[in-house]
Amino acid sequence: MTKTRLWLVLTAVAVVAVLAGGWFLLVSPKRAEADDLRTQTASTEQQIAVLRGKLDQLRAQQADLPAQQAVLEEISKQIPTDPALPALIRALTKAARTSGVDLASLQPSAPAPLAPVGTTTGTAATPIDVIQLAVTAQGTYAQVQQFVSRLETLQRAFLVRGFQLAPQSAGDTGANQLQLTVNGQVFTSAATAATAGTAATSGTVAN
Amino acid sequence: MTTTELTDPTVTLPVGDLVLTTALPRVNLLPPEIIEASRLRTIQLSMGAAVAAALVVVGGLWFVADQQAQAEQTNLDAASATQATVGRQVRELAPVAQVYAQVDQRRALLQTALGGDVEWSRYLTDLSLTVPDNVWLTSMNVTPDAGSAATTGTASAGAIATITFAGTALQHDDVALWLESLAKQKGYTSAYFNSSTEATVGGTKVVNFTSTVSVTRDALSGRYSQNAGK
Repeated sequence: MTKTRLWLVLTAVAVVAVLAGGWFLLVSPKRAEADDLRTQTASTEQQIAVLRGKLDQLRAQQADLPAQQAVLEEISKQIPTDPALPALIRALTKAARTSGVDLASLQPSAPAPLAPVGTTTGTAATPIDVIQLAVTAQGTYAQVQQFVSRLETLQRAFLVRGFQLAPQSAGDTGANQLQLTVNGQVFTSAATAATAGTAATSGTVAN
Repeated sequence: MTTTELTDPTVTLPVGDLVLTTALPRVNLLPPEIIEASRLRTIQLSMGAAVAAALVVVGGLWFVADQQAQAEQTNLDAASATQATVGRQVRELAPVAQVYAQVDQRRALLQTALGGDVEWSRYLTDLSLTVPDNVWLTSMNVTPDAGSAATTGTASAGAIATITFAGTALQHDDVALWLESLAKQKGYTSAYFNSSTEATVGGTKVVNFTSTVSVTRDALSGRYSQNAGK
């Protein structure tokens, strides 16, 4: 092999080495860096799009915020965070008075965790406690019907689970007088019911 | 060693009227080693230039790639800044989302607690309007089934409550009318009677009866469902 040919070969090798080395050591990493940055940018822009969607939704919701807060307040009245038995007694007394029935007795139970539908125990975690409340009242059929209607529309949610309607026991005055015994439920948010429950008065309030 | 070339260059000589053109031998007196060395140097320079050109190409490619990377970095910085801005705006409105989440949670609670609500007052009103003539109710007992429908003989599947009526009628046919009127009520199913027994009250022959009816989910008020009030 002549010197000239040797130099040609060496030069070719050097050129290839420079091109390959330059590509793999300098150009390719830089291109990879650019690709990586492009990918990050695309990902960031996707996140921005998601955030903008969320922002638009939040701005739309913000316009309706007062109404939602009112709903929250309304629900808090329906299911308060404590038993609020004094307020409940007053509400029931008022309902009885306006209906014309004689409110004979109120008998609440202690708050207990609400058992989900289909179970018989309160072992499943529901953040709500239930107070069983037996209400006994006396009046005519129309008065009793009015009283049940008022129970159902109390500001505090009152669930009529069942009731008994029977003629008033012998010895009581008044014809067509009926005795109503309502098995109802009221609820408290369990967040504070554990402490409130100890303060709840469990017993019978009778006329 | 001296080399002689006979073909070129040419020389023109005037000889009388004639012009003679003849080729003169070109003589290269450089030693072949020098010529070879010179050629090799030329080749070396060319090769060096080729390597330099390769370096320039690599440098150019790197420059272009670097420019692209810088541009992408600029884009990423801008996008990150925008993301931070929008993210801050979203965080500022986080209380709004919390209120909505609370509302959803409380509505779910309401649904859990009061999903079984039935407007019994409406049924009492309807009852007073639909009791047939010659039938008088003496008592009414509403008992929630609470998932025990499958184990009771009289309650139908899916019933949420059972109502037991006791009453008096003039004759057995009036009890039949009573059962038919019960069956027509929305939310009632499986109207049934347990007994219909003749008796005498104040010298008048009457029939004392007890009957039951199952209350279906159609009777649920739905007042506290998830969509209520929305």
